[in-house]
Amino acid sequence: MSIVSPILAALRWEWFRISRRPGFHVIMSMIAGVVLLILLGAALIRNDGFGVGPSAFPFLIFVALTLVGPFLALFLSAFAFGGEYGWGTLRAMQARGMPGWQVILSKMLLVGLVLAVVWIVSWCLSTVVGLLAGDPDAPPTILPFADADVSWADTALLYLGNLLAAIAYMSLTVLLCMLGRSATFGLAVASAILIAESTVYPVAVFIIEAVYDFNLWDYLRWTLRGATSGLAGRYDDTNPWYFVPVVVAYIALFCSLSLAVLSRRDLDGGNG
Amino acid sequence: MNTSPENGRAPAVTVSGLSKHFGRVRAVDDVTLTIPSGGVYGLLGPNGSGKTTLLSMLTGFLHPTAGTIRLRGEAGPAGQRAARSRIGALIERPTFWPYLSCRDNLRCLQGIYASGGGDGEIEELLATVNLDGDAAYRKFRACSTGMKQRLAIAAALLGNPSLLILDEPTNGLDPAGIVEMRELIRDLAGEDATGDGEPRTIILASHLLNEVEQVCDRVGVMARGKLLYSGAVSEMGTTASVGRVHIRTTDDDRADSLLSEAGWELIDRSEEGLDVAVAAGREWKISRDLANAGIYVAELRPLVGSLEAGFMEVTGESEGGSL
Repeated sequence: MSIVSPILAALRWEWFRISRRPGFHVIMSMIAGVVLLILLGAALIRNDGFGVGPSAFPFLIFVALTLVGPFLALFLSAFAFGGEYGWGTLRAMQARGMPGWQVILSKMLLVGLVLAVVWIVSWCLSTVVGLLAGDPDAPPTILPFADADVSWADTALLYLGNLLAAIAYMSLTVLLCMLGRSATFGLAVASAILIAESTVYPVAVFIIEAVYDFNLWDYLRWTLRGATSGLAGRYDDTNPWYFVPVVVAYIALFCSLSLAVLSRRDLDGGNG
Repeated sequence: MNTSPENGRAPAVTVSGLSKHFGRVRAVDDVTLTIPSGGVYGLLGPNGSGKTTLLSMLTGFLHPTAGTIRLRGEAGPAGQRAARSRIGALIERPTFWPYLSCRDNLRCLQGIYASGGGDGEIEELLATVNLDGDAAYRKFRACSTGMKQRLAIAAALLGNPSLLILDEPTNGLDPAGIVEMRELIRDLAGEDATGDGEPRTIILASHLLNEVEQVCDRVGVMARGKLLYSGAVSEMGTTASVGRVHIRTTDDDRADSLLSEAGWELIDRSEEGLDVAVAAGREWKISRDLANAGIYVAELRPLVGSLEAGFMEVTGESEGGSL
């Protein structure tokens, strides 16, 4: 109780602040806009006679979450953490002895909850649209790397894994914000890492497969990118759930390092 | 837990051998200091003397390079965290969320500090620092420097802290605001902060001699990271080898010429009397010289310059008024 109460209080005031930032509303409106756009796109595909119907929506929304989700996590975490350094408000928060872990945990919980809401709403929409499509055999999501023969429960697990991957990138961004004492630094470096992973990995895999005739993904599966891809079902020979502890370990590592940085460093008064 | 011999309570702050180095710069260098519980303690020193660094270590914003800090006698991490929960601080400059109003900033900090005063406390604090009315709803980013400073004072007072650390609190305030702030600080020092008889202690860092003299009971003088003096404000003036006294006599014209002939340095002459430079503890000689000439002293009091002289002597400065 002594741990839960201050965390809940801190979480409440985190929400109080972030919900009053215009930028937060812009981000959330953009997400809603993208979802609507995909929904509209799926409807247009049917109208154009491609025969896919609204069941394309679950696939599209899942792919969109997979691609955009980590970036959304990056933006939200930089949003929640970064400004505190520049304004010097991290000092104000810790002025009465608030422990560093409480600061980090409350912010991460808030961003995690916002992400969870986005994912849950997407899954619900995906399910509803899939059911409305009227095809009981139509898979609610079409996996990019696996067979389409999945159950409703499988899709929920896939969404959960996808959310976990986003939280891992969120923790990485928090660490980078702490290291650079700036939202801009955290966001820029985390984005660079994410983009590099998305572009360099596949090219490297392609070249190495062509030259040396072996699957590089097998060696990359324990990296952050490999593990989060594993959660999305990239590896046919490995159950996605095996990657959950790996991704959780990455999250714990990033959080621990963030806490170490926050605890050991002096708190300056920001830039005004 | 250490207790103060003066009132049987633990000193508000005890630091021992405290140092903070930034690379090769020794911002605070081996400071040992005890601040008793209750009253206003002034930390006086020129810019860059290490006042803010010392205060930042007390609040836990900066980690000491060496030395120990005891807050209310507590040295351990848990005890210090508990002690810090009862510290209100304004260090360097006001830090708030720019997109929130003054009222919302206070509400948010009240929630984070769990001070539990509710809306009543917010209204009271906003009124105390003259930020009630429309000003309370103004976004922090749109506030003037003075308003920001006042909001920071209000935030420091959240939860009725028993130790208040104010780093140059009158910065950015207009003359009327400065007078109000000094009165407020004096009033706050007299309050029973905790409600159980424990007095509030205020540490006021300033480079303004008259501010410290008007507001503080005790003073510590810092220069180049070192604490050069710590004691009562009144004693600091008298420790100076040369101060100033104001004299009013039964015949100021004769006193003027007599003292000049006797080798006393007259600094100023007005209808109210004479200002004379005098070595510490030698004021009685002025009275004697005048009495021997049949002139009687109606008033003899040390001037504000006494503290200034004391400061200059302590810090080794050669020129006055240039902190």
